[in-house]
Amino acid sequence: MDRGLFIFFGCLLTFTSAWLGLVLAPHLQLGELEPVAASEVAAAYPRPRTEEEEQGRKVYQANGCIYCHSQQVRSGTFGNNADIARGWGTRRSVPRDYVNDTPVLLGTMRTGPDLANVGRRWSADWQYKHLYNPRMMTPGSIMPPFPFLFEVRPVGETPSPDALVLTGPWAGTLPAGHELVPTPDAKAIVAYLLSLDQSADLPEARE
Amino acid sequence: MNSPPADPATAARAADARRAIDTSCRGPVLTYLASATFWLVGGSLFALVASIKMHAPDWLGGPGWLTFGRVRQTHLNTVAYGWSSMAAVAAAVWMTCRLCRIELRYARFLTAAAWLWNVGIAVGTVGILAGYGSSIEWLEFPRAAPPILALSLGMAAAVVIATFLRRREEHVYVTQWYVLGAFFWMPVLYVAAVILTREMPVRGVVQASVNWWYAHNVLGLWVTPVGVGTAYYLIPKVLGRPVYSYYLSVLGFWSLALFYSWAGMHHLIGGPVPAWMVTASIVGSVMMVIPVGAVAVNHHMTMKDHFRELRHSPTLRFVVFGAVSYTAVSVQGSIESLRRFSEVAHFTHYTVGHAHLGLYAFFAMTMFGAAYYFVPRLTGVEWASARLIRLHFWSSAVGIMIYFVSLTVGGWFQGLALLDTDVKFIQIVRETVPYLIGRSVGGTLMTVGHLAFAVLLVLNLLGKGKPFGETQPLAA
Amino acid sequence: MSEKTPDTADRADADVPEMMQPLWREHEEPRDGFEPVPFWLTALGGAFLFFGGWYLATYSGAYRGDALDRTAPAAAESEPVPQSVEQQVELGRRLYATCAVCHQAEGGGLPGVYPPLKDSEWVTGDRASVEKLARIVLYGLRGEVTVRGEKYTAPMPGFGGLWKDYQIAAVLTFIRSAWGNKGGPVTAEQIAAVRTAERKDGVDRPPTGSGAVTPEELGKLP
Repeated sequence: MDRGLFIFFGCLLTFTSAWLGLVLAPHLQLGELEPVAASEVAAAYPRPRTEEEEQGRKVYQANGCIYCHSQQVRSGTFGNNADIARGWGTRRSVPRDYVNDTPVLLGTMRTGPDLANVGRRWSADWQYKHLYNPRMMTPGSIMPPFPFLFEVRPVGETPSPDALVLTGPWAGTLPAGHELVPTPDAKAIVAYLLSLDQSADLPEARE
Repeated sequence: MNSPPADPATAARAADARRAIDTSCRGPVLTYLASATFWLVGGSLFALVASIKMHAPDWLGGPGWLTFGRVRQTHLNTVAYGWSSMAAVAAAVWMTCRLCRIELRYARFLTAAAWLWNVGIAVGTVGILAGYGSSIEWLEFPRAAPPILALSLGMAAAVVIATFLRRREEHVYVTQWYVLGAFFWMPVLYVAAVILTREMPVRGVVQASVNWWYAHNVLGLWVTPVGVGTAYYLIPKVLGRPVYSYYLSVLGFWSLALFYSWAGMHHLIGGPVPAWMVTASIVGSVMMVIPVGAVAVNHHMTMKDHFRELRHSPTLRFVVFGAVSYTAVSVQGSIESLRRFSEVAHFTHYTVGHAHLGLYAFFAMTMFGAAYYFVPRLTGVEWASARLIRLHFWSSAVGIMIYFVSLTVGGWFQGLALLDTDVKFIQIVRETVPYLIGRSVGGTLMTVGHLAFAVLLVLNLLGKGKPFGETQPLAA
Repeated sequence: MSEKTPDTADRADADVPEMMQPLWREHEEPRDGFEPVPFWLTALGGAFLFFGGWYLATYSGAYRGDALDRTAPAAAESEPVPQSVEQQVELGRRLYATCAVCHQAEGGGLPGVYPPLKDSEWVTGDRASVEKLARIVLYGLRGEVTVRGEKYTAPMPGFGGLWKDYQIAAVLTFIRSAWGNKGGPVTAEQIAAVRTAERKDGVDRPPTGSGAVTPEELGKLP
């Protein structure tokens, strides 16, 4: 092993083998996957995101939501169907669910629940309040609060329809004559969260 | 046994040669190490903030730049690319010069690369805190940073390879294989990953497979080779004994190169990816038992009957702690990758414990050992306080043990509960909190150790210590 | 091994020198020994290679891109549709975990925030009917509702997009028979009939925020 060239070629070969197997091969198998086209009974799936939902995605990325939340429903054979039984989805996630995503936000932690289908579980109103301070909606939660996604401002002629009604220990914490409204970033991320829905029936997802 | 030098004159000549080599690489190696230590302290503070927020979520909960998601991204990047990578370059460059028996040329070029790297990390860190993090794991830096880092990495790799090509020593020792491998693999990995996930992204879940091919190989083909290579250098060096078996070294190196590079998909077990890829990675992960076993036997048999040296040498203490942790974390990883095990442990704090057993108990401790060895030789100044060194060792060692046990136990219970649909999710969260507090305790101890190390390094760089005793003649 | 150290008197701080002694005496650069590879390691390696080959052959789903990762190699059975009221209650109990986040594990709700389901007139009392309950769970509820004399305003999300008819029927059957509630079972056919009734111009009522029913609307139902 005293020849630099020998070491180099060996390193090149082993490295290339893994690149071929873990990068090129999956790209050849899955790199051209397309959404399912619209039909008589169903819209295209996955549908393209609106601008607001895309912006919301960026807010999700910027604030590192993936470090606590996954977005992948595991197969029914994993842990006795636990993911689906918890109400996190009606079926497992498949590659086609992510074809429109750059980057994919699969996540690797479940400090918080999986979000692949969260758009089906919680209303916009709940999401706003939960983002402002999660403990307002879920006592005992350790999710960080996102007050910087909201602004406190004086009430105009009429209260804004977007104004949040704070409950529990947060009720009455705003200065008199002020209301709490979501910023465009908050609206964007809520729009994104509401768009998270993998319930469309896909043949490749049937186990 | 190493044969003793024939006479004091030969020994003195050898010492002079070493001193010349050490002097030639002093500038860049110390720049890399000092920068690494800076990022270590910063990264540790980010870590503590993130850790405390997990059980006290409203603490510092106001401003956006301090939100958990950003602080956590910053922690990973500053300790992975700031501390770990820069310490790796420092150790690798020094060992390369010593083993090639040649002075470093292009020292200023390499020092420039270090400063460029610092700029890249700074740009990336500020970018993440400002809200431009990408949430692509291990590639969170905003777009401005990767080109800077790639250039710097390329410069460092060029210097290492150029030094190797100029070598005076014909025999290529095992550490060199690992270093050469690492400095070839890492730049290629980084550039390929950045292109395929950020610049010309592949479609959908293929990004995830690129992501984890990359991220796991940062561990397997950059950090681990430098760490293992360092242990291979320092254990025989401090003891004055040869490495047990050249054949085990060869087996260990090539099997690591082959199997480790395939292991990345174990981060996607159960995910929306083809089963064959996950299976191939599980096989790669399990087969790691072979190189890890080879290295463990090699190091153990080299140390055998000489464990009492641990009492005298801080370097040996740190490096042996690291080497034992390497065996432990790899065996743990092989088991963790099996599907039935991963069913429980995936998505839990268990995996974070595993990651830190590798990056800290193995790699960081090994790097500390290396720093304690080469810094006095480069500066000509002894370490100022044995007490601080002991504080560093014990704080870090006990800290990581508490950290690891907390998250491993907590994560395992978390995983079991996640699979039990009778347990409500919020109940699971509540039950992990004590273990998260345990992690903060461990992390605080580790940070204390880092502060001790930083203080020692600053004192040494300022010349506050006795002159390093290289003027005495060598003994065998 | 000669141990020539010059004036130890110089090193007044005995602490550091004792620790540094081995460092001052620097050995030659490390070299290789040539012991053979232990047999047991070779045997272990061989065994693992066999395991690796077998595992790769068994769990690779014929290397297809559409054979996705799962723990069992053969196709698993999806959750069976309940065939009896008992099975409905069992399934409903598991699904109730989602409802329990707000309505709590014992159906007690959160005073002032989420209404109780235990002893609720909407679940088993004079205001209860499958027509109303199905719509609440399918489409969600918004507006102010009074339950056992208390007012509640928190909106409830709908589950018609997330759960199939037999699942909604199961969870309603469970709720109507748990915690002392004495209500009858609900069938999947009843839920399907509600969905059909709520279809307007060939479009399903949205099972999310805008499709939520209001108490006024419910009041008009039988």
